[in-house]
Amino acid sequence: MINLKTLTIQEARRLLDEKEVSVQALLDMYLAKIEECNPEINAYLEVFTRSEDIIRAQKMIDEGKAVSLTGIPIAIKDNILIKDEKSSASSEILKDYVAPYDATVITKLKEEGAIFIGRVNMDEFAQGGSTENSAFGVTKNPCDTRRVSGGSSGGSAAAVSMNSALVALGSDTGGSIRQPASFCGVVGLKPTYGSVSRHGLIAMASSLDVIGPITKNVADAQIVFDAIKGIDLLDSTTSEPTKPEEEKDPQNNKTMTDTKDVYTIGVPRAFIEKGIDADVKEIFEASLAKLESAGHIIIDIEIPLFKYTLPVYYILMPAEVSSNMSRYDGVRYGGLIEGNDLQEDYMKTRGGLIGDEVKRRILLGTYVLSSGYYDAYYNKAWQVRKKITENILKVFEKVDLIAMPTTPSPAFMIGEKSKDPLAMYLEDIFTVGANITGVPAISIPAGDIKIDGKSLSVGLQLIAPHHKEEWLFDCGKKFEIL
Amino acid sequence: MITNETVTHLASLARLSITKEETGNLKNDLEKILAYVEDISDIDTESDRSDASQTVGNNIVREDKITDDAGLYTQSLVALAPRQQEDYFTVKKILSHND
Repeated sequence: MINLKTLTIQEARRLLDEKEVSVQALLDMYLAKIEECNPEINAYLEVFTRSEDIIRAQKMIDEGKAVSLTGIPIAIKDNILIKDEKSSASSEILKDYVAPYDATVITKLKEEGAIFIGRVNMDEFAQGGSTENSAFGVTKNPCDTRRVSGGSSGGSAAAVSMNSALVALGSDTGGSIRQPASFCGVVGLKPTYGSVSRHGLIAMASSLDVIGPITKNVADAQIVFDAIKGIDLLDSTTSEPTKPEEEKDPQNNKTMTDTKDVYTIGVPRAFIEKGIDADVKEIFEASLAKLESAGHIIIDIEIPLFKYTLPVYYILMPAEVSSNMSRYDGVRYGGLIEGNDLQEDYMKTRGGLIGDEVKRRILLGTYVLSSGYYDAYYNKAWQVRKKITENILKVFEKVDLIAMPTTPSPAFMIGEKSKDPLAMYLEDIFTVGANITGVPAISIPAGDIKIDGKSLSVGLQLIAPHHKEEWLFDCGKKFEIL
Repeated sequence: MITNETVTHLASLARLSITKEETGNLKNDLEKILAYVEDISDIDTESDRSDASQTVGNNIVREDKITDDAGLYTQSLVALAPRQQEDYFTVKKILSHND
């Protein structure tokens, strides 16, 4: 009997390759789980029936051509395009949008023979931290259904957490993979900006967005990241790590591993102390003690400008949102509400089919980009962003990794913050830094807080220099078994 | 200072119709958020006026060349439009006879 709660990609790979289970049979187990849990949790907006995926995967396995993700059921965030499937970004305006092409990550996963099990819920256009901004209802937290799953990739995190997919893809602009992963007790990786192609990801804030995996454990996150990363001609911001020639292995042209036995981990204590729950702090300190007892070096660091990451984010992000959202005009695709003339078509379509939070950000972005305010807000924020990036690069001269809690508190109640945008924004306080500076970060379950007889998960966040995902995986795997 | 008029003006620039109730709420929200983000004016950035957008990476340029056959995607893309005619998107007339 396969236990979906503990099943990992590697174990599923073995079961599939040794014919202990067929691709269809494994998928059926996950579909049964969706049928059982989804009516209450609302992680899936749609379950796909893609027999072509199943046939292709089984053929690859039967011919001995299986690779790491062949036959692995993956849930896809509703803002990543799969040709001929709906992709709505959980917005009314894209409710019936059918993707005319595959996102690059989807092309790569198809080559792997992965199974797209369904599309999962999110905050509308990835804007929010609770999935309460979805046009199709909130996704509840499988650990405590009175609470939010987090967001914006709440459907992705809940789908993995409720054992209804082995893996999910999410996207992270200010914490949208790591925060829901932390809330739902799963692993979430925000890769280096540009390491994974954004082609076919419905854009939110283009200088911050990145696609990444949500998984049961760190090893699985590494497998998925390796499958989706890489330079893409269709995304000019993609990049790869630059390495000196001698570090390359001439045999297979793969770069050599550069993991370490001992990691020096910096903790920005002064920055973390403010506004964090006592329970979260306790789990964080215990995590650091574990890492220290395993021989890693924990040191206090200061990142003087880090407290400005959130203000910078809430200027640059809405600015980019306001321009990215301008494409929803009722002319080329998406919904249309007719008016008397073209101007009214625009006004009514956008006013009627775009949700409150997205409207708020469009107006905020329009304000900071408008003449007279552009220099004081938008330009200034870019200058500060540059300084913060210099700040963090300096810190990485002294430490290998930075450790922080993923969030200041565990999952909050549904409705608790939905009326106060600024309180919701403060959820991102520990996560936006990695987006502002472009560095990779991972959230790993670090402990539980017991409230009302429920176990609420809390994540440890590790942050690495650009393109050093390997350190996150290596140190993360070591942390998991402590 | 954000007023209801500011919000109405921004909404018009962004082509968003908003209700009276929304206008009031947005005014309050925008005020609070702008007060929060204004903290960044504390930081001296005068000493360095170089192009900050380089922070996220260098521009990668490629040859401006069409690699797909002409019209390959035309039908599938036009089909997504709420209103279309042959290979065109249809919009309402912008100028009236009186203009």
